[in-house]
Amino acid sequence: MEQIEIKGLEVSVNQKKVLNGVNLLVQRGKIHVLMGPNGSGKSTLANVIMGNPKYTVNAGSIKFGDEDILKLKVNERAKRGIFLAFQEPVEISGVNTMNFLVTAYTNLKGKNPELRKEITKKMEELNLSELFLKRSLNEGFSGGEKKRFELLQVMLLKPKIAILDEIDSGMDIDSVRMLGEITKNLSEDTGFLMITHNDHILDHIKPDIVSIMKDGKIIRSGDYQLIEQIKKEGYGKLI
Amino acid sequence: MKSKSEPDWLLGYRKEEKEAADKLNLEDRKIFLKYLERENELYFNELQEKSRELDNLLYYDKEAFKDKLEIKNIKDLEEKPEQFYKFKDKDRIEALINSNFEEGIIITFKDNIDINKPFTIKQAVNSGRKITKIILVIGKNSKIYIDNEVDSSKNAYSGQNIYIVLGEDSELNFMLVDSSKGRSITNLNLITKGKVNFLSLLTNEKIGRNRLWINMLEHSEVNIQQGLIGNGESYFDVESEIIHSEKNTNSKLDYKAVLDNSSKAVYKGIIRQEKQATNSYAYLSEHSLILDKNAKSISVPSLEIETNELKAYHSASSQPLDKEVLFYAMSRGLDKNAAVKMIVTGFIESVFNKEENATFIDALKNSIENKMEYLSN
Amino acid sequence: MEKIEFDYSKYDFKNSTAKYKIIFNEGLSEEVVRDISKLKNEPEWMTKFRTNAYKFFVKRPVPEWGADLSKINFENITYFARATDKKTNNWDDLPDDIRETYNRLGIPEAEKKSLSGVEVMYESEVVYNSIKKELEELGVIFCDTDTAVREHPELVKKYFGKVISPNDNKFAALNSAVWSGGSFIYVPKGVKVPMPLQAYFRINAANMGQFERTLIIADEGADVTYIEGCTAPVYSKDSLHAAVVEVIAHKNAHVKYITVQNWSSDVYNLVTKRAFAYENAFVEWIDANMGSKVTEKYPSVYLMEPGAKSNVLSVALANKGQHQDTGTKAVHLAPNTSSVIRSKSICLNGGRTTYRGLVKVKKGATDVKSSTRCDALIFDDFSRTDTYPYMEIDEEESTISHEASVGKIGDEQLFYLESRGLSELESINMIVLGFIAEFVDELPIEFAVEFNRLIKINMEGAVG
Repeated sequence: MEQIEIKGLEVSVNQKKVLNGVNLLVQRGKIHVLMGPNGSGKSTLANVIMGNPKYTVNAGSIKFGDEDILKLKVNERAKRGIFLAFQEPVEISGVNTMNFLVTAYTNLKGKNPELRKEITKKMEELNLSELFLKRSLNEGFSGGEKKRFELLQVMLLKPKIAILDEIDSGMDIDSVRMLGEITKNLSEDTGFLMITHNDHILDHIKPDIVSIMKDGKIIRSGDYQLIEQIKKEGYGKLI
Repeated sequence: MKSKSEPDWLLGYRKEEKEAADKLNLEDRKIFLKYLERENELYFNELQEKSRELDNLLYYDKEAFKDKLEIKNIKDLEEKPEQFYKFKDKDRIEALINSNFEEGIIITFKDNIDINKPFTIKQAVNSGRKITKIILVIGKNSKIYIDNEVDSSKNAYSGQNIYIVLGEDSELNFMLVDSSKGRSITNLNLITKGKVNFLSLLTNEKIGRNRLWINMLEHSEVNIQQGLIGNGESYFDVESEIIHSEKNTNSKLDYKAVLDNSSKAVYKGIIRQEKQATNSYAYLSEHSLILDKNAKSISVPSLEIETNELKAYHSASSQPLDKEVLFYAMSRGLDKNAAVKMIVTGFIESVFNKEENATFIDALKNSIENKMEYLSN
Repeated sequence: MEKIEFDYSKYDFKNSTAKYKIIFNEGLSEEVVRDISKLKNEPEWMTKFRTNAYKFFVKRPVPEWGADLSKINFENITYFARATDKKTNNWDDLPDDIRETYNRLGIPEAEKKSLSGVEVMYESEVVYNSIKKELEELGVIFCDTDTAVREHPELVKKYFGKVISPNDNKFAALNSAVWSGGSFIYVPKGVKVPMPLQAYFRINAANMGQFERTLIIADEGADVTYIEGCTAPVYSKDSLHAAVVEVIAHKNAHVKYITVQNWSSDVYNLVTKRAFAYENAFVEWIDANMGSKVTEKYPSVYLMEPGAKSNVLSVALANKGQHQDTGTKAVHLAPNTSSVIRSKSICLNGGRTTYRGLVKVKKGATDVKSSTRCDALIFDDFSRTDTYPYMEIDEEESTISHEASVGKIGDEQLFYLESRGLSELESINMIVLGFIAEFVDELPIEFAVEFNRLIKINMEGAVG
């Protein structure tokens, strides 16, 4: 089964505990929404799955299929098909955006003579100007453009599991609608862990599973109904 | 005259320092040697010694500081105090002051004190010379304010070496205002484990040499705000060196200078980060406003970095008075001098953080205002 | 620019060195200086220039403000020799690291041998002649400086040693006394040279002298780009390289001078480079220092007349055992002049970089604009980077700014790239190449490709 299985995950950063025993299952082909108040540990979880060295794993496991991925380097996790769309993508001066895309793609998927064409086509879909390809990576991109550029990478690299860390924040209404459609289309082949604060995106996709996180733990999981409940009552009653 | 009652260790020390002075350069860094000017005015041997009483040097609220400090005359000590070993002379003038000081004091502030009334060290010289050596020892978990005022009259000479050791979890707020009409030298050396806010304003009219040296130990924090106003023929030789010796140290230095007439300032800002200074941050900014064709500014904002676990940044600029701003001010009815005064005052004042101690900020504003009077004449 | 059939490796001055077969004994004296001049059949004024310079060389102290030069032994240096005699005769005699670098830079077999001095390879006559003809038609003089002294004495005499006096510093004095080789370029009024002129690419680089002397004159409205150096490490038996480069850009002229320095790691590279920019002229120094044990080099522009502009872009990389002490000087002597300085430095494995620069504004040089930006990357805690930007402003009506930053590669940047499947080394390479991208953009494409490879080879030690 191509899935990420997290068990009893405990994580700290700068000697401070931020995850206190997280259990979660993200399956390929399904959309999993993760919600929760600010500071509940959602972004930490995303970063730890991808292997950000800033965080220390104290206990628990993350398996991708049968493999324990905690031992793997960041790029090895990427090669297994895990992808993280960053909440705040970093800017890297002088690194040409097109060059970056081609390098990343070739590294993961091998040579593709049609790649450049494909990139421009997808950028058109995302309403991203081709001019971005000439710029430095993420430099001079607006907040929303950075997010759409992350989405472009999901579309190109077609990961098995894509973690979208608040990709909808900073996006305008049209972009959020577009995000919904794209996620829906890709979800046949990709599993999504979508971290969000925002109900809007939930008007455009129908998640298979919804989990709520608080104080470094998953405190509730359920299906779509849970969202309706949150919309009506807020987090307050649930937690 | 060195009094006959001086202990042997002190006589020996004076001799050693004299020998050290012969060996040392006027600049401890070769890279700055080319900017050395008016060397002879830095020495003080041609002037008669003048002895002064301690009472003329220290001013403080006796009630507030009661039982909180201990003041000792260095000449009364039977042994060489340990603080003498903590600091090494960096240049010839520092060694000469150590060799020739007329007044030497060690002030020890106790642990766990918090006094917001400033302790004032007033180096006022009406004639001749005044050479002072002051050691301040501040204990742990204390917070104090020190106000150092320097004023030498036209033909007088002021020379002071100040050495400070600041303990853990302590906070030192230090203000130096030098408005000397004559020659003035200050060497301020500080070893810190705590937090330092250092504010200085130099408005010397003749020649001012001001050297600040701070050695930062683990978890210390330094915030330096320096303002300088030069007019007439005043000459400034200013060096601020911040050494990040240990990890988790943060420093920030802002310097702003205004130079008018034929004044000249050499500003040497150095940030040094040693290998052990991991997880440290340093920021240095120097900005000069040049008001006259004959004014001159030289600056060397240097970085010396020996670790990769740090961030260091500096910026520097030099520019003329913004004519648009001047035009705007004059269009509101100010005459040119008044407009310049307003703009310059704002420029210099902005280097000092308004959140600092109100007494300090008032004193600084006053001094700036007094200095800017020269435009009215 | 139109791409012509111009292989950078194919341009040589084959007449220049063939005559001198004598190697002087090590060590220097006025006698040796005279003999050099005599052997070259130089006119009296040049002999005088040399002996005069020799006196300055003796008098001048070794500079102490920069890198450690105390280990240079002037007695152990061969001051004049036929270039090829200095090379090894056997490919296998080359140090392993240099041989390996040649392989990994992808340098063709034939060129490798030539670089190492095993074989001397001459340029294709056809290419050489076509370029020579094209330049001649334009009235451009491009030859080695020895030839220029013989064939264009009036031009040489007018400009030689005028930008950099023999007494400028100890190493300029040394060069003035014993110089040999180097390029001479004269571009007449209004002529724009359509291709970058390149004297020492690869093959010729191996034959480059230790004391070459280059003089470039761009007459009014002329435009020329000159490239020197090469990406392959230049192996030398002698440990001192002291060149002098003088550039004169007359009214409205544009001169762009590109250097990639990659001397082998035992060489002291002490070079004086200076340009005079006259009314509305524009001078650019594009300078990379990758090799050598110690480099002290501060390409300068003296902005002599109103409207002159300068642009200096430099990259320095200091790996194990290297000290790159580099920077630039912009001396504003006239109103309305402007200068832009950008410096990028990288140090790792105990290497040391120093930025030492000067922006000077003379009194009367009103409305000057100058901006400097220095960025340093430091990889570990036994490397070191220093920044000493001197700013001497004597004129109120000028706007000068300076910015500098030092730091390591950002963890978050590495994480981002690694999360896209790049290894740590690939990510570091990508970030470092981005860091110096502005510089690489200035290089001709063949050069740029090799330069990137060279950076990557240097970065291999950066991953713990």
